[in-house]
Amino acid sequence: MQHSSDFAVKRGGVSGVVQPVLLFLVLLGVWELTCRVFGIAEFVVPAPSDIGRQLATNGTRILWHTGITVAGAAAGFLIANALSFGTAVFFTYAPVAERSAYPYLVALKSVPIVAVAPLITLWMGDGFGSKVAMAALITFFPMVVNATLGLQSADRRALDLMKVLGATDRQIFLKLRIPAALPYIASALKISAPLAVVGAIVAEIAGASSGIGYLILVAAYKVETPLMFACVLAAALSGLLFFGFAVNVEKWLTSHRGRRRTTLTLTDKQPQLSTIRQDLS
Amino acid sequence: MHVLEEISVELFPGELVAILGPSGCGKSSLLSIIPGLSKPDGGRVVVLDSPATGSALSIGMVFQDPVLFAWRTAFENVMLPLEILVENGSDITTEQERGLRVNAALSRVGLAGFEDSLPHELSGGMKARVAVARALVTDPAVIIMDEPFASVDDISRSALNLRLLEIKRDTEAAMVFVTHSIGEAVLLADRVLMLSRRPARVILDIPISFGSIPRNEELSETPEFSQYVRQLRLALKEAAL
Repeated sequence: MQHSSDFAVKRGGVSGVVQPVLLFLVLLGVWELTCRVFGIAEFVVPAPSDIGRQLATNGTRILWHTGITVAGAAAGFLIANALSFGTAVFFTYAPVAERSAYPYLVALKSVPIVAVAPLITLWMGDGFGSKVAMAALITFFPMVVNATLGLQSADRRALDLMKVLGATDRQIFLKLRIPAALPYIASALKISAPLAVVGAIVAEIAGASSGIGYLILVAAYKVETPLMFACVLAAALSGLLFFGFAVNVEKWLTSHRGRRRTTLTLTDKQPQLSTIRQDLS
Repeated sequence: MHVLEEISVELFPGELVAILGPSGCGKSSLLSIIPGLSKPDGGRVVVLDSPATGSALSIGMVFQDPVLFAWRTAFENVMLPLEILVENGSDITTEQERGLRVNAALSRVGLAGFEDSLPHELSGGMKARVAVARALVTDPAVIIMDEPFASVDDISRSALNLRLLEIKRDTEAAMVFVTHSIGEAVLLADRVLMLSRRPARVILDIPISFGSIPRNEELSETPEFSQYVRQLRLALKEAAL
């Protein structure tokens, strides 16, 4: 299978890894040099070395707050995906509900959900709950819209075929609707996974007592710019972590496509069906 | 409005019946009634003396497009009907034997060696062959083909037709073959039915027989062939009026 994952190093080989790393180091060097040569104040733009020092001294603190944010984002992400997938399944079998609600879901999908963050904080307080709620809210709509599209993407003639074959509703769902929906679900996952982190951080900035968003606010009040930079770095890495997770889920979801190799070998009069190759690449 | 009017067709084992008719005459409606995809206002479909249920055992269907599942290999696509039957409690044989049946069906359509190919790796003609193999694999009493090679180029199409004649020779199934091509109908069919415009009736039901002349590429050059084609063309003209 030719997977064109977004992470795949297109050119391949060592240079595919080495070149971006080199560029990163060069940019870091230019940044460091600029700060030193022009004597830019640490609270305006800290040099990479300042940020590094911050990471070294405040590392555990940053890690702890990042952990809380990541946990909130993950919980919200999981809840939202379960709910949105359930909704999509419901829509598939209750077209009236779908026709009534779907236009609103599409509309809500494009509303900047971040605007409601203060409201969520008002209702749920500054604890863990509001992070989870915001992360769930921001990831729910892309998934429900895509999963609904995906479950209904099965061709009408394919449905006819299943009926001619005497397939039950359950078989039609498992053998046709779900596989047809997987690419839609996978692309929604890739969109919504990094958004979950955004949701959690936005909730924290709207009011929280912990988390990376909270730490960014604290650092901003105290004008501890290097700490802010370190936090932004931690937030960025968290987003990447979620995206990487989604890419791997996508790979796993689509790995059953055409991977099972079943080959028949005939030996004299004793025919044998054996699964020869389980492609692992 | 009635689309079909009093259509009564009896099929015999091993027989291939081609259905011709003006466009929009209700051929598709007829084809969706036979496997139970839509319900007739009256009447019934009987397969092997029992009412057809739309179960894969009694009827195999080949649509205008191959309708292959993109995420399944050719082997897995052909396995689908057996998979569904087994899950629903028909104990047709062991997994090993099911695999053999799939492979047999694939080699009957000339696709041995392409078991592991995904649909996007196959040409249009090969996809059509997979669809035929999927209809054959359950060994149905009736195989319905709704312009199965409509989307295939002429060269592959004539190869597919010859392959179909071979398949027909060693199957007990009755085949219903809908086509727009008079030549195709004459080449393949033991009987040609002509439908009128809506509401469709059977206006012509003629046996096609070439005696000792083998049905192959040269058949179309024989006077007998031309005679049938002429007769059907005239009938089709009348039907379209």
